[in-house]
Amino acid sequence: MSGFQDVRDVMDITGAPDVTARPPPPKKQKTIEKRPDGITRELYALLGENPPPVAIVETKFKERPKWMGKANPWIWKGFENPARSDGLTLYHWERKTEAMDEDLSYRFSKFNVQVDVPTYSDAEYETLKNDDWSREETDYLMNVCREYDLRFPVIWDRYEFPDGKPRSVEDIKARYYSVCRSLMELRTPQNQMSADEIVMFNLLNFDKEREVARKQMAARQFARTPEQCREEEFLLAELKRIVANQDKMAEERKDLFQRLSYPAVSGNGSISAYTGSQGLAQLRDLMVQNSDKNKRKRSAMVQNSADIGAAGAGTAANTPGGGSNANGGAQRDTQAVKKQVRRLSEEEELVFGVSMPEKPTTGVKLRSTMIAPSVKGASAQKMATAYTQLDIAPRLTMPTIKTVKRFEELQTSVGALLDAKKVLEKLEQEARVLKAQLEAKGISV
Amino acid sequence: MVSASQTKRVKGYSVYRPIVYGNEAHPLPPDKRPTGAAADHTHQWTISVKGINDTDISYFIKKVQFKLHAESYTPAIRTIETAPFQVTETGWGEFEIAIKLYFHPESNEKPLQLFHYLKLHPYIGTEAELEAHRLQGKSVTSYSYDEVVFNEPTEAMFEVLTNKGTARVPPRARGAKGEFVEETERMELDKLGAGLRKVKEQTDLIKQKALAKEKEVAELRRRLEE
Repeated sequence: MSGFQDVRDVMDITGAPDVTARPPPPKKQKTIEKRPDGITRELYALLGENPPPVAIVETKFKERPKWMGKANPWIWKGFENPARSDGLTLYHWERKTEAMDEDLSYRFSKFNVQVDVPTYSDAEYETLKNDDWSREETDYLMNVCREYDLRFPVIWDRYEFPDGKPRSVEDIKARYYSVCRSLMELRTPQNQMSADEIVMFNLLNFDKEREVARKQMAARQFARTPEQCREEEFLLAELKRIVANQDKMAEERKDLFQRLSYPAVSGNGSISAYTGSQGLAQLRDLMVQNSDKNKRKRSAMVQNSADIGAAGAGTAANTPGGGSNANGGAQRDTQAVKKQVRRLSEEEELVFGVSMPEKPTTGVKLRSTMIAPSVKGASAQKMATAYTQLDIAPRLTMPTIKTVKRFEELQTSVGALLDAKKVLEKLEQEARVLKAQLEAKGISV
Repeated sequence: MVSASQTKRVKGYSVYRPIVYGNEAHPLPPDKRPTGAAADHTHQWTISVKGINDTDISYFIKKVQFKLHAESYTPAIRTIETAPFQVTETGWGEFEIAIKLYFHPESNEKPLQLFHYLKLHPYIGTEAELEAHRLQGKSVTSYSYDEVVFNEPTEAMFEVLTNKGTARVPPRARGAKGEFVEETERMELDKLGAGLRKVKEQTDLIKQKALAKEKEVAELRRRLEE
């Protein structure tokens, strides 16, 4: 606008008028309410623009009470309780309602429940006779029961039959229930009773002994000391543990017996069969028999092995290499003795490589390791040189029974040779010393 | 009948079975290299544990564990649970392999340890011979014979060993020489016998000399005391 220009001229401001509009002043943008995605709700509540959470409530005074109208009338009324037998009229305030019935039945009368204690005639009493209880006492008992609503502790407390012997609660109960039961039985024979009546009948079957015992037990339980409690808990825990581990224990026991293997255990692995005196004798016999069997077999085998040496050379050539055990089975020795290990014939022994070495050391070995090493390092060196001289390898190419045996022989003989050489050397040494001594003495050698 | 115990041992008896273990190696031809072989592997080798003449040994050996050179092979421990008990690999170096034989549980035995030095290059020969050998791609074998001896085996194991397999060794070599046969055994026995004889001769000689020397010493002593 030219106006501006004039002003500028007046004020001596140079410069081209800014045509480009200045960026509008930064509007105070309403910050977009970022939905609390990136930040938690709680954080947003702290940082974001939120209205304050507390709403301020102005305290107001209480409203003026509304005035209703007429007041509700109350009537002083008299009432009667049907549960009472004397017709006493008492008064109380009652609210006036629309329907005004006369003599609304007193609402608490329904709580006057009476227990129906049975009554019996004289004829019926004939069946109820009891030596311990006279007619009068029984009648008195019934009355008291009726009066006190069958609350036996109360009855027992108030029980005062003149010249009567002292009755315990159980006595009273027992008498009462037996009376009821007999009466019931009398009035309706058992097979004519309805289901409910039968239930009732069964319930009336009061067992005095049991009740007495039960109460005693309960009393004792109540009076237990802490030690007793702890002991009981401990025993229960033990029992539970034993039951839980029973299977495992049985299993372990069986396994243990199998390991012992003396003697063959029967069935489920229990030793109960052997605990009696007869059982013990049986056990002893079994053990003797077992040890006997081994010794017998050994002596027999020793005889057998002597024959192997002679027959082995012949049979070895005949039986084909890599032989099967088909023909061996036919020759199997069948001894009557209960054998646990098969006895083999000579042929089989050769085929399967069974032998009885003199120095049995239990376990698996490689035959090459079974060759006893020579003594010490110094003489081992000498032996090694001896071997090389003899053109024999220090380690066998094919360690079989025979080669190993012969190698061991060689070892011992080389050892003997070395010893002999040592002895010779010592002697030579001695000879030299003596010669020197002689020469020293001037005697010509 | 009580079943053969796995713990009670048969006293006084021992049963053995022969085994052959070792390796066979051949140089890798540059054109036909097996997949996965590193560039600097020059040979392919197989280490194995077998019975004589390839007879079955799995009735008493449950599994075999070969422990190879840990830094070169992963996993270093190779467990073979079925026949043939062998591991085939490629490599360039020779090293000792620890072999562990695991027996069936009825034997109630700990595993047995063997060692074998892996052989890739031929034993003897001049440089030229070795070179020629390599070029021809001939394989190199190194096998050892040994016998697994079960001393006082358990009853169960005794049953197994007296029913399966055999301890016998074939009488004669079928093909390539160097197999373990009865003939080999006999040759060794003969060599040992010869050695024994020599030793005996020498021992006798020395004994004679010693006797003579003893007399000399006695003589000298006597003269000294005169």
